[in-house]
Amino acid sequence: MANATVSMSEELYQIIEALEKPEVRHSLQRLLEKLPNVEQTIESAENVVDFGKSVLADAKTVDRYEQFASSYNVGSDTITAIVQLMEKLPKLVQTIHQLENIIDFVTAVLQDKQTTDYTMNNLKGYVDPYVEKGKTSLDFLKMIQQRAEEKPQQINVFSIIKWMKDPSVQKSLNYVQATLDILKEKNR
Amino acid sequence: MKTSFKVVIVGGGTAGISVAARLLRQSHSLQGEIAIIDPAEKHYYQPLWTLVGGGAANKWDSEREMLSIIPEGAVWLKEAVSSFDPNQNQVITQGGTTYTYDFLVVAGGIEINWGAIKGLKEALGTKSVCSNYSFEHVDYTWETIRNFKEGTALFTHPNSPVKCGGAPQKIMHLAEDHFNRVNVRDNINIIFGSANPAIFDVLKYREALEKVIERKNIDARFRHNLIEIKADEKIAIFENLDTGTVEEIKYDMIHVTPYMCSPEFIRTSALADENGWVDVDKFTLQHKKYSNVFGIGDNANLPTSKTGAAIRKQAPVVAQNLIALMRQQPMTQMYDGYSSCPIVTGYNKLILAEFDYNKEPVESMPFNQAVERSSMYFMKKDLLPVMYWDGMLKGTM
Repeated sequence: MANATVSMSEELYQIIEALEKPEVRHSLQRLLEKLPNVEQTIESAENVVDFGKSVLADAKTVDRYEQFASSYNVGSDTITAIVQLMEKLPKLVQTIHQLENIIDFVTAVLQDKQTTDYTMNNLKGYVDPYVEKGKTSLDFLKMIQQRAEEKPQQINVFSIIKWMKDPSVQKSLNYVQATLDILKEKNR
Repeated sequence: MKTSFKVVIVGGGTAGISVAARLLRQSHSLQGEIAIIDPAEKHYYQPLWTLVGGGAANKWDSEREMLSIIPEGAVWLKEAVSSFDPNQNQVITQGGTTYTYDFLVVAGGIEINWGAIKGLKEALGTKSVCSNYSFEHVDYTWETIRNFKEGTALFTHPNSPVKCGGAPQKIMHLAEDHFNRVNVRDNINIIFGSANPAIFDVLKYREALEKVIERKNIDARFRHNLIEIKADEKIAIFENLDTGTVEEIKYDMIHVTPYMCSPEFIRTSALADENGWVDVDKFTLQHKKYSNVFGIGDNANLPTSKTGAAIRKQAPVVAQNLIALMRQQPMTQMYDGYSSCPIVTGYNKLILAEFDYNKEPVESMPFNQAVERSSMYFMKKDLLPVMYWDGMLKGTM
């Protein structure tokens, strides 16, 4: 018993000795000052926990939110997809950025009258020679048609002999002859 | 009037506009916080001038109102810069206004010194002295070529960096092709007087272009630097850069590529290196001394050709590194020295040279670009202007 009293006195002495240190006294003072805040924080935490308990205990509310969540197709597949999507986000952002640039470029071209005029003029430069060529051929055919309709004439053997003398007919017939010669050689 | 901006861009040329557009696309918070200082009212797509001088394009297609290309959200200050005070983050204009910035992009371009070749300034646009490097006189190049029937046609390349190193020979090839088309080529002697040691820097394209020169029977004289024109006598005076001797060449028409240098307000500023160009790190494009300053385009001391194509690759690097600095993140974008030069070798023919700092080809097409191709000519004439106006200047390409 006497030993126990001695030990308590020693402990008390040590506490008093510690309290005599100015830094300990200062810390204690600051701790006491903060006590109201600490109490408030603990109270808030208690409120949150109580709120959670109440919500979980309220079967009606839980059912309502369960129904709401189940109306969406959110399952483990969706969650896996979200995680995968997040993994791919850096690459997707890059791709979307490129796509955005392309869309903006095309929009800029289409809205730029000077550019569309420039392009159309240049295209015209490429197309015009072909259009001109086509026009000439069409004119040629029209003239033939007109002439044929204007001067219907009797075609006889003499007319055909006259055609045969024409250089362009001769040239075509030369091709025919050359084709026949080659076919003959190949068939030997 | 607002005189303090987050970003001040000096120069509303290809580089300045591209960077502004890119910055605004990347961060909407920069709306109204980017100022572009440039006194010019018009903006020109200068690569088209080669074709204008060769009679293959209309010069008015190369011109647009400056206002029409200023990106939405940027503030255009229609003034000329007179000096910089990078220690105080200030730009001072000729009108005496001082603008302060958090970040500065110097995109002042390159200055043409018409007076450096004696007699050129007075004669330009008359007496068969022409140059594609002037919007005002580019029509006269075509007039001269079109009316030329016989004699010596002289084309030059100066002893200085130039906008698009291939341009001085492009017009020569177009002229040669035209002379052939109108059957006067046999009456004409074509001379190319160049201060360079060879027809092109990059070996692969040099070999291809040497064959073109040989095939076309062009008299190429290298290390020949034009120093004077006697327009009345039609005599061009060259200095041989190897021997120092002076040589006179009699001509009947001459196309001159003038001397070019860094703009005076940059040359004389604290931002310049010993040669007058903006002193930047060749990979990050950040100024070597002032970390909130970037240099881009022709006015930067980058060891590559000064072309619009180079700016197309530099602009995203500057914009993204600048944004990284604003967000206090490390700069990750690096420019590899890419440049490109579509060398027109005739109407409907073109060699598309693309290369990097190491003068190694960096070709973007799946075929050998050292071959003369019509498809590449089509691209230069019809596609590149569209990409420029509606892609590059909008910050999407």
